[in-house]
This record gives sequence, structure tokens and C-alpha cells, in this order.
Amino acid sequence: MKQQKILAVLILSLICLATSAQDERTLETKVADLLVQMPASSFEYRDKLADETYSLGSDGLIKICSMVIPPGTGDDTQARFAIESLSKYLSKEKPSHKTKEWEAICIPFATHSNDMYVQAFFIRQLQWIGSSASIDALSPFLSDDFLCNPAISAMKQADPQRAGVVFASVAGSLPDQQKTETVKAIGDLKVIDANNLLIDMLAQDNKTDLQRNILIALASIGSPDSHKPLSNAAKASGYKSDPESATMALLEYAGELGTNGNRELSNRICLRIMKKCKAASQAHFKSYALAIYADNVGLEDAMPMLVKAMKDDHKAYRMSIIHYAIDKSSPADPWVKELAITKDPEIQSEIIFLLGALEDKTTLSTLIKFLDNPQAGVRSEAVGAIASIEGSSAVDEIVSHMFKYPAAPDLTAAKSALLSIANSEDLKPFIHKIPGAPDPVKVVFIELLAEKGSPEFFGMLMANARSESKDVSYAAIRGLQRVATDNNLTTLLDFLSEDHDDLSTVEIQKAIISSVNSSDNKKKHVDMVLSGMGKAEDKTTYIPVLAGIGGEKSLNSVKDLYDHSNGESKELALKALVNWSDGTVIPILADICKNTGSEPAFRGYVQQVDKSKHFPEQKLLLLRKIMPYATNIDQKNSVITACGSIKTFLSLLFVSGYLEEVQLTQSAAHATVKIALPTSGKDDGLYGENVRSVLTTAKEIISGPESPYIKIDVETYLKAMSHEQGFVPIFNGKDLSGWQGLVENPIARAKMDKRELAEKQAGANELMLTNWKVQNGTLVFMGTGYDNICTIKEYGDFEMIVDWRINKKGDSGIYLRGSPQIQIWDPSREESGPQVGSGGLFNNQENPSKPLLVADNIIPDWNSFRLTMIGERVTVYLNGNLVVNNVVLENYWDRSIPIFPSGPIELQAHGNDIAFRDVYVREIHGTELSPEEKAEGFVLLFNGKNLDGWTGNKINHVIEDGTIAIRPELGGHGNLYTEKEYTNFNFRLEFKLTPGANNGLGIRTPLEGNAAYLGMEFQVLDNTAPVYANLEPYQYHGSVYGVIPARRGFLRPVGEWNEQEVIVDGTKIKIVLNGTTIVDGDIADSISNGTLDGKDHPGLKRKTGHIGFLGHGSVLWFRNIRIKDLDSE
Amino acid sequence: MKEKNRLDRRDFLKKSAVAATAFTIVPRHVLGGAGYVAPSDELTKAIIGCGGIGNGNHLNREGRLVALCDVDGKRLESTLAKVSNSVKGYHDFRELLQQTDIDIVHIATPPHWHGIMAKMAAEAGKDIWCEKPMTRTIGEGKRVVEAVQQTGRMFRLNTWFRFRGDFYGLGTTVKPLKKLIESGALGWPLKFTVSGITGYNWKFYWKGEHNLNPEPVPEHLDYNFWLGPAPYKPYNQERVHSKFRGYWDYDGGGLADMGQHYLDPVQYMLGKDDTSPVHIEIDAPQQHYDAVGTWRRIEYTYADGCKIILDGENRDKDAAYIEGPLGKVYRNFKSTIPDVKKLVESLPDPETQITSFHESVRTRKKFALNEGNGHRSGTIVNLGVIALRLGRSLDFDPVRQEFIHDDGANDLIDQPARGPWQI
Repeated sequence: MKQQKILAVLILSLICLATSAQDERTLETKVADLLVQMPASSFEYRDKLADETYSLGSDGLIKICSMVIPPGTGDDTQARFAIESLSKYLSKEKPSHKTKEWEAICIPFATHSNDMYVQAFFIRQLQWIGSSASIDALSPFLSDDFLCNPAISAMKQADPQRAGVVFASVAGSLPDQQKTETVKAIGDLKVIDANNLLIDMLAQDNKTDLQRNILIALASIGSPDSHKPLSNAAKASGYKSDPESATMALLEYAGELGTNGNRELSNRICLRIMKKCKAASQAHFKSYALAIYADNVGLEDAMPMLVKAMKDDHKAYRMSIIHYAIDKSSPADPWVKELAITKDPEIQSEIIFLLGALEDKTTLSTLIKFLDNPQAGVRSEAVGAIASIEGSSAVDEIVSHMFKYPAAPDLTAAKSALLSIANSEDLKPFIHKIPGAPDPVKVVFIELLAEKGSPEFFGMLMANARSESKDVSYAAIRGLQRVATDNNLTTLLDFLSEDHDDLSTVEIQKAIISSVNSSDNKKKHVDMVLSGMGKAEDKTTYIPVLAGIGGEKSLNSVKDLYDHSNGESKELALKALVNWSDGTVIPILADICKNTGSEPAFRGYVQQVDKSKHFPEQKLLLLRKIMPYATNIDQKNSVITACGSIKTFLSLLFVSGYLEEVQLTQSAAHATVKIALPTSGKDDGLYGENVRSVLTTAKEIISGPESPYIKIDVETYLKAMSHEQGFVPIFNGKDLSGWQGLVENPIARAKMDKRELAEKQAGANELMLTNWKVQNGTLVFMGTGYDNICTIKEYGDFEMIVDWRINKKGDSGIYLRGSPQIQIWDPSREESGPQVGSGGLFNNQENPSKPLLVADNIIPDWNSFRLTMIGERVTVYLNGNLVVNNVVLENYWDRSIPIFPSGPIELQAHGNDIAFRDVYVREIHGTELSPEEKAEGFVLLFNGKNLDGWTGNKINHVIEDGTIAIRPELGGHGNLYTEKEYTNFNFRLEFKLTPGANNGLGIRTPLEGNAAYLGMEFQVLDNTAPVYANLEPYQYHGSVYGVIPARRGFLRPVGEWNEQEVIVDGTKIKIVLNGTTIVDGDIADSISNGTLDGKDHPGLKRKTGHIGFLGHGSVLWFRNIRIKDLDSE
Repeated sequence: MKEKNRLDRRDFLKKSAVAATAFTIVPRHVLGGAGYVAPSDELTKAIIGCGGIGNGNHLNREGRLVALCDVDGKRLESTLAKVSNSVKGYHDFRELLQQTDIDIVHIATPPHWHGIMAKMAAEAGKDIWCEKPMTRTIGEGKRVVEAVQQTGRMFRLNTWFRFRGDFYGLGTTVKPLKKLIESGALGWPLKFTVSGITGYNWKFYWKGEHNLNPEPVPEHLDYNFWLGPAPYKPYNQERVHSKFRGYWDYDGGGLADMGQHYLDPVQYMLGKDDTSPVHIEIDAPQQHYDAVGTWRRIEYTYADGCKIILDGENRDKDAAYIEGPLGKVYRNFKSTIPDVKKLVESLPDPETQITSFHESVRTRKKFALNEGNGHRSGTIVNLGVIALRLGRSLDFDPVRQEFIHDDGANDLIDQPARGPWQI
């Protein structure tokens, strides 16, 4: 603490910054409010904060700097954010008066803090914004073994000139390690005055690191005096690679001399190194030396030396000179001459490669001669070089070359060149040459034509497909699929009927499939295939084709074959079904699985469902349907894994059901995570208590190579996930708790007195227990008559998921708010008219009563409803299909009034076998008053859609998902107020905080000025944030700011919604937070005797005013805002 | 001279070997690189860094391993246990570089070491196989390019999507896209959007923990050496081994981890292998001074108007991967251009390049992704990292490789190195 005071005095004596006079907050609060906003959500806002930080003045900046503490002694993250941001913010233009002021504050913290890590942190700030003032302050640290390094870095960037002088003056007297580092800095800064010092040091010291740094520094300074010591060092190393890097240093030195005009000395060094470096392990020194030499004398004068390099034994050396020549766009001529005299085919190839890269057309005539070189490697290099120089005009030449040298590697080189330079048009003129070509050339040509994919080449490929040469015919057959169109179908079908080996048959089948699939009239071509099959002797070759082209007829004929054949045919048919081109095969595979337990059929079923175009809900039903027929663990895992791609709540529940089953846990855990987490680019993550619980379990279980990352993803998501309750089961799968029998109808029930209702309810419950049973987790109606089962709880707005199953002639429904109904029935029932499916609002008279389409699954398969009831409107999805689109549900019990605002959910029984499972409800709260509040006289202050009725800062206050969100980064300023003024009232709202959030409710305020004083401010604050640890009692959440402290400890955890009621009546104030009264006081005392904070609060005397949200730069949310005027009673 | 012309397309040695069967007078030294490799002719390699990359697949692939190096004794020992007894183990890579029978040095350390090690390896006459990101700073990248080119070494950056593989979620190789772009069918300039929508997921879990408490350094780890050129900060297990990407001192989070994989193909497709963007815009939350945070969007603009958008939070829901005035390409090679696949098939292929590093080492012809283009795609990553750390938009001069009118940014091109570590 003492040290802080010394620091403060030190700094205050240096500067005095202006502070803002307007703001009435204490400095403590201003600093806290600022820090709590770190990190800012955008850089724009960060800059605004940095500006605010700067304008806190020296007191505020010192306060923040004082918060930086040694690592491990507490959390100073936000202070460090603020400091580093200010440095970066100011660093763009330096030096300025701002950087100098900030430097003056940082220097004492850098030099006098009592922890070296804290010192290093501030020294790094000086690296951003330092000036010559930092040089003097930091130079004492050059001898410090820890701070030496940050000090050197900061000094180098603060004032390179002065830093160099200081480094040179102290380097000699520093301890070894510090000396080594300072020498390096001297080299970086090229401090000429230090040259002799370095030379002396080199002689005295033999530590490797220091020697290396001295040599490099000498090289980088480049003084003529250093020639001798550098040469000697290189000589001593034998011009070999050594830890001191002596030869490299000498080379760098030569380079430096060359650039600075001392070419003569530079060249001498280079020539000596070239002479001394003869071994392969020295080739890199030699090539560097030649490059420096060539740079010195210029390309033209260096040409003889460069060309001479081709006579060297070491390929690495030759090639690095070739790369140098390419880089410098060397003239081609000298190389052409060297090419003429060199005898070594490898070196010939290298020069040809160089000529190709130089792209000089005059070398073509030379290169063309090499096309006939006796060495195949040389010829091939020439092919590439010519292609590189000439581009597509070389096609002719290269094709001729293929004919002349019809073997690898010439052919390979030619093929690769032609792929690069020719398109299909370029190849056409040569097609007529193919018939006369040798077989290997034919193969290459056919591969080229196929690669280009033009339909015009079909004829040529087909002609070769019957070649006697196996290589040629196979290349042609393989190419057919790339060029075939529907015009070629007849030819291909005929071809298929000929004798082929298995490999060729497969390729022809692929060609037929691609021919049919390219057709605009696919049906016709499918028929052609089927008729071909009808006539064929060996029908089995057609089966894979049928699988690839699909269609109902094809499917039936393959199914037929499967049902009525044996042995190989049956096997082939099954294979085709498994690989079928679309999902129409799914029911057939299901039957095979059930009847035979066939392994491939099961695998095929799962794959087909997975890739089918069904809605996710339907996919899940299909996969759940097959699960009982799984005969082994692998099959079960495949179902679970496939469900992992289905992003629905029920899919999540299904797979998470296997989290604890032996051998299924891993696939279940991976699937659980995949379903619950958002896919990239979408906000489709699942949420709710169920989701949180299964994700937490899955995270613990999951293993495998990517699992650490997955765990991090899950943790991150769990933190960000909404704390809403989400879907809640209303049927527990075990018994009927939560349900009761039906007593007449809502209107009749409302007329009954309590005793009568209780009696009737007891009777109805007894009946329910005989009619409704729980079997294997499903809710089943076993009775005969009409008996609905009803939730005890009543629901207003909600989303509901439920699976259901009926039998032939079945009839049922789901009552919403105690009223009929979403229809469930057998669409084939005659009385319902032709083809009306389930899902419609059956009892509607004015509004649509029929579903938009029939989406029912075949009885007795399961079906899945997802529906919403919001206000008086209903939307229904059946098996993923939208069947009712936002339609008004009429009131069946009294058609003169709208549907009731709430009521039980009922499952209807209509005297038939019916079952339900997975019944989940998500209640939707928000933007409507409860009937009780309506009756009491509350009105809504916020409609959930826009800010009608509000005034002020509508830039930072935005609508998000039915809430008012405060987004400080959007650039506005000021508060948001009700348009109306209120005197005495009961005000209710919900709010959700982020860590460290600070806001306030303005009460009886004017529209201008500081609401906390000119009106009243009821604090809204995250009491748990560390930056608010030292506030006064009257500053915590709920307090009448500065006037009446609130009780602490009743906020819900940050991120959850809180409910608050504020009753303001005359001078009496009462605040109820989450059911607990935290303020119950009277401001009358404060008005007469002064306030706790000792400040003047003229607002306490105001009788009326606006209600407002008083933002202090934090993100938080408000919703469900309603008010009751106490004076209007 | 254009960069692509420097790349050779053929394999001299393979051809020579076939020729040898016909012309037995071919000198012995031409025969290297045949399908069969005599043990004495086999290339040798050393791996520095026995973490994730350096202790798995690479140990026994491509070349004979002769040396390993790690500053974590435990890791070194456990990796040595997996390989032949003849493999030497080193603590200090500088000693490894003095071993004379090593042809290729594979650098598999955290990125704050890549530049120094690559440069020293080149100076010691070794060829270099370097993991991505190529270097942690733009300055280090420049030094590596100089050193490799001056000493005539071969360099391969280990990302490969520009020449091989369906990269990540895009659902196509780069080749057809390159052909389509070069045909002019999409028009010019082009805009690339790299996001989850177009097939790439930025690894946003590379976030550093704030406010780390000092922990005792494990006995088997030479933490001071592990840090090397990086500032000395108290040890915490979060900093080292597999977590290092979360700290600016050693790497740059998901952007640095995945950036070069995603951006190198784009740079190649745009034909920008010898230049860099001129303007960088950033949208991100404020960044911690030590720990890496997330970002939302980085937008790069080249001098000719081409753009690369890194859409970190997938904001552009309908984004195409490539967008030009005449057409768009979405993932899985879907395009607004009719019959795009047919069109591409009729076009010539891009020039073939050397895509086997051993071929490159034997023939001394540059690898497809070498120090030059590798440095330029690494620069895109580093431009993003600098903009992110500074929190402002930047203007860059791609010829001088310096920021324009921004001293603070220029200070980050070369970052101070600690101790004897010199680049």
C-alpha cells in the first residue's frame, strides 16, 4: 500500500490531466463501470472505452494501473485489458502528447513496482508507446537477468538511436547472458560505434551464443574493420556449418558490404568461400556466395560464372544457381551454348528445365532437337519445356512425339503436358490418328479424351472398347461413363450383352447409369433399360444398373427378382436394393430385415434412411422403427449414429437413452453432442433442462481422438445456452401422474361449485384409471367409450411434441385449452371423405378445418406431431410436413367467444385402440398479461415487438426475442424512458444480467439530466462481480441509489431471469425480488435529514415522472414489463 | 518471372531410371529415385518437436528417421521408444543440426519456433519440412524466405490442399476451381467467403485462459527452452503442449491453426502467390494482452479488388464460396454457371507441380508449396492476427511488406525475441 502512495505522488508531480466535471459518479464507480465493460464486444467500442479510460485523467489511470498485481495473487484481468487497450489505441500515432502522458504514468510502474512480472507488463506498454523518456528509465534494467529482455525490446522501439548509444556504452560491463542479448540488439540496430567493442569482445570471450551474436552483429554493421575477425572465425570453423554460424556470418557480411558499395572486398570474400567450399555439405555456402557475387557484378558480368556452375558435381549447387537464373530472368543464350557442349544427360535436363522456365521462344529450335535425344529423361524434360514455352500451340509437336516414342517416360511426360495445355477442341484434329497408333499411345489418348469429357468422343471410345488389346479396351470402357449421354443408351445396352470380364462389366454398367441419369426424359430411358433386361438372357448384369437409375418399375422388378430367385440372383438383387438410388426402397428393406434379419439389408436400410430426403421427424420414426430388429451391437450403433444427424428434440432424447448402455455409450454420446450443438452457420442448437442434463452426461462419457475438442465445444455451448426450461415431459412414461379424467367441458366446469367439481373429478379419475394404461413407456387407451385424459395443469401459449399411433378405423385427437381439436384418424375412413389426413382443426366452421395435405404414415406406424398454440392460432406439423399453418382455433363450446386463454391439454379417446408417447410441452411466456393481472388492472408497457410507448435512446435498446436488450456497442447514448409519466404505481418486470452488469430503474425522472439525482434510481446490478466488491451498501442491486440500501443475496445466478416488483406509493418504496422483499422503506426521512451518500437528491421531492432504464454500458435484458397505476383505483 | 514458371512439372529421375534399362551407359548418379531405393540412397530426416504432429504418423513415413528432438524429456523418451534404436535423441535442436547425415529437418514445434529453426536449418545446409502456420510473424517469414533462397535449400510447408484432397467441407478439390477461375467464366475481381457455410469451421475453441496462476514447472520440461524467443511468463500447464495456440506469444488461436490450410488454396486460386492484400478490416471483441480470443469477421482486400472474407461466425447465410461478376460457386462445386462440370472438364488442367517433397529434394526443383508462396499465405494469417491484436483496420504495402501509416502495427511485423534467439 505504501508503495502505491509513493507511485501516486511520483506521477502527480509529473502531470495533471483534465477530468470531466459533468459526471457525478465517484472515480471509484467510474473505474468500476469502465472495467466491468472489459472485454468490449467490438473494437469500435473498445476504442470508445480506451478514450474514456484516457479521459479518466491521471488519478483514474493510476487507480487502474495500481490494480495490476503479481500473477497468482488475484484477478487483475480487466485492469490489464484496460491498460493494454489504451496502449494499443494510442500506438497508432506516436509520439503524441497522449502517448507521452501515458508513458509518464507507466514508467514509475515499470521501474518501481515490487514484482518483476508486473514490471515486465508495464515495460511492454512502453514498447507500444515509449519515447526517449523510456530509455533513461529502462537502461538500469539492462543488467537485470529477468527484465533485461523486455527492457531491450522496449528501448529498441522507443528510440532506436539513443537505445543504440546506451547499448554500446554498457554492453562490455554486463553479465554474460545480458551481454549476449545486448550484443544482438546492437547488431539489429547496426550501432557502428560499437564495432570495436564487439571485436574486442570476440577475442576475449568464447561462449557459443555470445560468439554467434557478436559475429552476426559485426556482419550486420558491416564495417571494413570486421573483415579480419569474421574471416578468421570462418576459417577456424573450416567453412563448415558450426554452432557459431561463422561462415554464414561472413556471407552476411559480404552481402552487407556489397549493398553498401564495398563490392571489391565483398567479391573477394565470395570468391574465397566458393573456393573453400567443395564438399556437398558446403554447397549451400557456395551457392549463397555466388549469388552475392552475381548481385555485386550484375547479371551480365556474372553469366560466365553462373553457367560454369553447371560443371559442378553437386546437384544442389547447380539447381540453386538455376533458381537464381530463373529469379533474375537470366538471358537464355549463354545457357543454350552450355547445353550444346555439356554431355551429362542430367545436366542437360537441368538446363532444359531452366529454358522452359525462362519462356524464351528463341530457344524452341534448340529444345526441339532434344526431343530426339537418345536419353529418355532428357527427351521428357524437353517435352515439358516446350509445352511451358508454347502453350497450346505445342499440341501438334507433343502429339507427334507420342507417336515417335510410344513408351514411358515420354508418354507420361506428353500426357501430363497435354493435360495442362490442351482442351477438347485442341485434341479433336488428332482423333483420326488413333486407329493407327501403337497401343500405349492409344491408351494415353483415350485417357485424355475421357478426361476432357466431351460427348463427341463417345464414338472413338466405343470403337476402341472392342479392341483386342486388353489395355486399350479397358481404358476405353472406363472412359465411356465420362462421355456417355442418353443418345448412346442403345449402343451401351447392346454392348453390355456381349461377353466381358467382371471389371469391364462394372464400368459399362456405370456408363449406362450415367447415360440414363443425364437424360431429360428419364422415364423413357428407364423403360428402354427394362425392356433390354426383358430380352436379355443374363438378367443379372442389369440389376446394378437398375439400382443406379431407380424408378418404381425398376424397383418392382428387382424386388420381384429378390422374392422369386435363389442363389446368386437373389444376392445380386439384395445388393441392388441396398444400393438403390433413392429412398423408395426403404419399406422393402424394412420387410427384409424383419423377415430374414439380413445384415446387408439392415445396413442398407439405415444408410437409405440417412441419405433420404424425408423430413427429420420422419427419419427418426423410420430409424426407431428398425431398432428392435437390430441383431447386434454394430447395427444398434449404426442406428444411433444415423440419429446423430437428425436435429430434433425427440432424436436427442432417443439417442441419449443409450448413454448408459454397454457398448453403445460412445456412439450415443457423440450423437447426443452432434444433435444438441448448433451446426455451423445456424442457430439451431437445442436448449432446455433436458438438453443440459444429457449434454453434461455425454460430455463426461465421450472419448476418442477429437474428444478434448468436443468437450470444449460442449462446455462453451453449455455456458452460452439459454437457461429457459425448454421442453418438459408431461407424460413420464411410467404412470399417469400429472393427468386426470375429464369432467364435462370448460364452460360446464366453470359453473360448478368446488365440491361438485371435486366429486365429479374423483369419478372421472377412477374411470381414467380403468381406460388408460401405461405400457412400455407409451400411454394407451384400453377402454371402449369416449374418455379424454387431461393434464391437471392448464396451458396458455405453448409448443407441443407428441407421437401417436392408431389402428384401422382409428379416431382420436388432441384438445387444446380444453377444446376440440387437432384431428387424428385413419385417412381411409369413408365418412371423412376421400383422403383427408390427420392434423386438421376438425371443429372449425369459419376457418380451415382440413389439413393442407395427407402426411399420415401407414397404420399402425407411429406418427409425430409438432404443434404450437399461440394466442388463438394453431400451427401443426405432421411427420415434418406443415399441415396447419397459423389457423384460428374456434371455440367449440361457445362459438360466440374466442378460444379460452388457457386450459388443459387433452388426449381424446374415441372408442378405439390408440397410443401416445413422448409428450413434451414448452410453455411460451412473455408478451401477454395473465388473467389475474388483467383483472387487477395491470397494463403492458412493452409489447414484445417494438418500442412503442417508449422514448429516448432507441439505438442501444433493441428488441431480441420478445425482450428489450441493451447493446451498448451499437453507438447510441442516453436512457430509455416511458412516454407517460407515473406517480404512484406497482411496476413488474423480469430482467436477466450478464457478469458485472450495471443498469438502473429510473423512477419519477425527467427526460433530461442525471436520473439518479433528478429522479430516483433503483439499482440493477450483478452484486457478485469482483469489480463491485468495494461498493457502499446503498449501491447494490435494488437500492434506492445513495438513499436506501437493499438486502443482498436474492438475485438468481447471472444468466437466469429474475422477477421484480416495485411498488412506489407516495414516499413509500417497496421492492420484491424473486419473491423476497429487499427494500421496504420511506424516503421521507432522507428528504428531511439528508441522504446516506451525503449528496443532494432533488429528485426525491418529485411527485411524478417517467420510468426509465438507466444504462451504464452493460449488456442485459428486460421483458414482461407491466404496470398498475395505483391512483386510478 | 512469374512464380508458377519456377515450378517444374516433371520427374527427371523417374524417367532416367526407365531410360537406364535401355541405355546402360547412364552414369550412376542419375539413378537415384527409382522405384526401388537402396538404403544408402534413402533420404534421412530428423523431427524437432515430439508433440501431436511429431510423434504420430510422421515417424515412419517418407524417409528414414535418424534423429528426434524435444525439450520435454518425457516426450522425447516416449517417442524414442517407438522408433528404431539407431535414432538419436536431442534436447537442443542446434546440436541436432550439426549431425551430418540428416537431409531433411521436419519442424513440428509450436509456431514461435518455426522461423528460427527453419533459418538455422537452412544455414546448416538442411532441407526443411515445416508445419503450418509457417511463421508466427511476417518478419520471421521474410527471414526464412531469404535464408532458404540464399542457401539454395528446399522447403515444404505442410499444408496440401492447393494440390491434393477435398479440403475440409468444401466437397471438391482445388483443381477444378482453379481451372474455372482461370477460364474467366466467373469474371473478375473475385470474392471468397471462408466460413462454416462454405465448408470451413474455424476452431474457435483455441481460446486462452485469462489470469493464469503460476504453477511449478514439471521436472522433465525445460520450460525456459520451450519458451525460447517468447517472453518469459510464469509457467502454467495451459501455456504449453497442445494448449499453446491460445496465447499470442506462441500462436494465434484458430485463425493461425486453420488459417493457412484454408487460405493457401485461395491465394493460389487467385494467382496471388507473390503478393498480399492491401487492406484488412476486422470485426471482433477486444483481445486480451496475453490470451487469444475469438473474432467474428476479417475481410482482406487485394489491390485489384479481390476479397477474402473470413466469416468466423457464419453471418453470411447465403454466401457462395467464390463470387464473381459473372457467377458464383458454392460448396460441393454447385454453381450458378450452367453445366459447370462439363465446362471445367473441357478446360486444360493447371500446370502440374512437384507434390512429393522427396522428389523435390532429389531433383532440387521447388516443391509446389514452398517458402515463397508459403510465406505469402502465412502473411494473410499474420495480417489477420495483427489486426486482431491491435483492434483496428490496417493498410499494407505488399511490396515493402510494411503497414502504411501505422507505427503500432509495424512494431508487430518483427516482434522482439528473448535470449540468444536470433532470426
